Amino acid sequence: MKALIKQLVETYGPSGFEDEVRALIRQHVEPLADDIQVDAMGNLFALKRGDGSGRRIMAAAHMDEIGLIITQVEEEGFLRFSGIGGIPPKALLGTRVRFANGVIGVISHDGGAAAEIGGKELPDMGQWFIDVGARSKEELTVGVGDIVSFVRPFDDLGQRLLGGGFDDRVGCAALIETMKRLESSPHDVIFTFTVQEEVGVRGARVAAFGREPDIGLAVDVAPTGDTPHPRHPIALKLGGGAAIKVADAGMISHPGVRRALERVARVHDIPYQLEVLPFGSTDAAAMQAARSGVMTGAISIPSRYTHLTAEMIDMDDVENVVRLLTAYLSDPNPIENQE
Amino acid sequence: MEIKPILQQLTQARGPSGGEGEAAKLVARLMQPLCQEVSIDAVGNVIGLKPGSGPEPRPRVMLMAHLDEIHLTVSAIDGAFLRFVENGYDPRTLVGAQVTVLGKKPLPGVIGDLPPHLMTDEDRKRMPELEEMVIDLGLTAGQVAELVRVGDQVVLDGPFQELLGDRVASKALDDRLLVTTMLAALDALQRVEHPCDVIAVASVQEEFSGLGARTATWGQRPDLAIALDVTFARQPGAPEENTFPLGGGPAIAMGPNLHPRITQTLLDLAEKLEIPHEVDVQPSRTGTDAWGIQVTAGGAPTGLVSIPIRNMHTAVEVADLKDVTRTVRLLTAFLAQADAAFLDHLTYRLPDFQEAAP
Amino acid sequence: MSILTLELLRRLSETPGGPGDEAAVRDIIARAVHPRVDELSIDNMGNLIAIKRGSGASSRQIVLAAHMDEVAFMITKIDDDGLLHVAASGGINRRTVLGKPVQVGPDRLPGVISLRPPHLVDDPEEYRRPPKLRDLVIDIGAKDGDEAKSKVKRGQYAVFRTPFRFLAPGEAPDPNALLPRAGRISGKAFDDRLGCAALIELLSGEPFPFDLVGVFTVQEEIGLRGALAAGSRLKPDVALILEGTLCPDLPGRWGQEQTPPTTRLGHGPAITTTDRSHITPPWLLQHILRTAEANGIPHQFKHPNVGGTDAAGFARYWGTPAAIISTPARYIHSPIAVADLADFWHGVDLVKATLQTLEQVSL
Repeated sequence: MKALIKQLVETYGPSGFEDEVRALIRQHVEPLADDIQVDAMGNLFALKRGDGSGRRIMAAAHMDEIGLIITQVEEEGFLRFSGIGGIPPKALLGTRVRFANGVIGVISHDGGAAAEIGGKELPDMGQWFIDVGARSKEELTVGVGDIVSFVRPFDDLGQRLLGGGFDDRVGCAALIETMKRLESSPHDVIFTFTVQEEVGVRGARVAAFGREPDIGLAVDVAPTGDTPHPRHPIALKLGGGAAIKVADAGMISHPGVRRALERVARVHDIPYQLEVLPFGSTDAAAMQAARSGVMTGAISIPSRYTHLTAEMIDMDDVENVVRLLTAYLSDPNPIENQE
Repeated sequence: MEIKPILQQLTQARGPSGGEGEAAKLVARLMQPLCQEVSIDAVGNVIGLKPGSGPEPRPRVMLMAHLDEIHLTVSAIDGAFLRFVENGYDPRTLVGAQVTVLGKKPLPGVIGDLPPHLMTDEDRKRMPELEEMVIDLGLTAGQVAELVRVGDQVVLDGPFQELLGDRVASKALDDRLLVTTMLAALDALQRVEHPCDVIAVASVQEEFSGLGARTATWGQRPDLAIALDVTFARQPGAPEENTFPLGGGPAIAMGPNLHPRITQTLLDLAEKLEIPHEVDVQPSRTGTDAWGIQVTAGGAPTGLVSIPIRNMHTAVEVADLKDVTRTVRLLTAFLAQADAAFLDHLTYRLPDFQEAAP
Repeated sequence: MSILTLELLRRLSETPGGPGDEAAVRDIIARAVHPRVDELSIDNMGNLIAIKRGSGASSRQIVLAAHMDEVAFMITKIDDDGLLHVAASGGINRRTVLGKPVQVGPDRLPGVISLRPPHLVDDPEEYRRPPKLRDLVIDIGAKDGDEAKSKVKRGQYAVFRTPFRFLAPGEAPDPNALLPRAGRISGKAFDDRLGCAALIELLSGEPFPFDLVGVFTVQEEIGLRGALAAGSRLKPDVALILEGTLCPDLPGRWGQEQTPPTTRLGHGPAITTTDRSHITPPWLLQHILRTAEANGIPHQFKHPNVGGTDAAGFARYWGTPAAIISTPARYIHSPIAVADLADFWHGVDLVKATLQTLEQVSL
């Protein structure tokens, strides 16, 4: 799976501009699916039909990544920008970016690295700029409206991987791998690769409204609380197993779905951990609210340093997520009701 | 005399300090039927003379309301936009205001602000500074260069609006409200005998340097004067101590800038005639023409009567026109009794040295 | 066959219509388009929906939308002194409200937003801060609470009272003649009565090959509410939103150089790449840009990634591809904005040309 993950994270695909990564994913899933569709927004649906006795389940991971959009151009060729998705300003200084046409640049801000602007350590978004090395505005081959993604090398540390964009390309990889391993299932499973999650879970909403699943499952990354002096009390640990989401700031998992996930994990001896996040949201929040409601849960791959250019994940966690997905989707009882 | 239409005309005329021309012409025209003589002096004060009845020499009583309104001045032309300095407006009211630039001809303009969508958190917590503001005429730089020059004056648009009851909102109630009052008093005096010669002055540059007050006093040498201006009406956030109810009648000032016997006479008359009024305690400078009048050319005993308005120094000042009527009654009564004996009453006397000291 | 006049634009600009209170504006629009469309209806939110049947050459359905509401105040309390306390409906720029004339309630009573005089302000900090909404009062000249309550009620709306003006020097044009193609205008609510005017114009012309659904939406300013409701019901093939958008081309602080603004007055309609609520599908964006180039229509980008429009409302449930073409206006969300009629007409031309060539693009 490492090769698949690497291939996915190295593909350009900021929110709204997922064509390349969708094409790549389609190549992988087309041979595995009974039906392939792309909707008006660009969501990719790969249907694996069940034997007719089960439910209609949508399992979703998002294809898009965070990026920056160029908003203004200075006479000297520096480019001002705004964020697509949640950009941690701390991560910007000195970071390399890549345009769709291959141009590479670096980010700095007014006053240079040492500047304190207006008494604040980090300047406002409007005070940052990208330098592509042009000598003037006229030399530029990029401009207003262009979107960059971050340049982030992929490093295999052995047990763990270091790279950017694991959010949520590793989720996409997990879905693709699950499709390969899912031999039979009572359920119709729509493996969904959504667009524009980072800007407000927009793709997932349209996907769920359009396909009307009974059950929804989002597969995304979740931040761990296991680095020195974490700011928030989060119980997740790298290597602690597949994370089964109880709640985040955008939704509370359907208890029946969550309990079923836990049961499946226990029955199949899959290491798992329970996840409660004080912030953040995923495609699950949008799926849950579609039409008259969808029973929705979420499984997460624990990750450190989310949205920075070097996120870290553990391959055991990834493997356990795939195992859990495969087991859940094959299980005839996807909802565990309390007796 | 119908107050409202005259007031409307007067407030809408443009007459910034030092550029009172348009407003001056209007006042002169309105004074014509009410005075024997109307003239405009060297600095632009409009002066109307209404002689009294009775033997000469008659006391000369000057009424003064200021003609000028606050304004902005173009300080630099920045492409298609104008930079300016502020002369009197509350700067908080400039942002989002509609203005008229008195360039080659009156030009409509706007002082705008950034769209909130592009403001930083810092921006949202503070008002823009004058150095960040520009006047937008919606013209090209070329058109602006042709029609506007540095030094051109700008006034905020503040149309005359009738609110509920007798209340109105408009720009320049300071001090066209009292110019109107003065004209109405002249009108009332057509039907009331007055022993004094009345000199009605619409003065220039009160909002700037008080030039009009000093020069008119020097030119006319009145025996006494009443300055007429606006004062602060009660409104949220305004301290109770020196603000007055809107529609509660004129405020009669007392303090060192005013002659105590003029003040007392005004108060007595208000009581006698049952005119609602307030007492305005002024411990030093009154910030009106009274300050200049009092010490010029040997000094003239001065009184000050003010009408309370809300939102002073904005384009939406608010007044109650009942207060105009009351002030006219008060002034008319005052002028009707301003004879030689009254002048004598105002004179400070030495003690009688024959009598033992108290 | 244009029916747009300066007079109609003036009425659209000056008429009050806060979010939830759009009836008077809707009335003007309905009367204007009624003779030119095949069906006219009002939905449960108050959106005005006008259908102009196509020539039959296409089975597609295209939505064009503009919102009728403007940012406004609502009266929350009438105090014993007869002064009105308010809350904001929509994002009013608080820095611009002090000392401005307003119109209150359905009878449009004149009032002013009061401001205690600078002479009475001790604290220099207060001077430098924009007012908090709860510290604002509107004065309609009532002598006490009873008089005020006899004229206005809690829950009524107040909007700015700004006369619409044509700014170009020279002879003022005849208000009843067709809207001039050049010259700048000032007035309130250009966001989005300019969009409404453009939509009226597009509905008044020749039919298109496809059915055109013109939706005049309500309550955009408080969260695209009308568009959400309409969008959950309508499933057009494409939606084009006609807006009045921000135009930050001011020189900034004297003596300091500014980053050149992306959107400028007089440089044509502004096309959205992204805003905070919507990303224009690249294929649709490219189609619009190519159409503009092919027809020689001046155009520019709207400053990316700020603001939100009804596009998100129409795209939300079914992913309808949506684009936004706007007339730039300086100082939106304040009492008075400035726009260029040349930009307005180029925008109308661009939308028309885009629609006419939409058939050639596979959706």
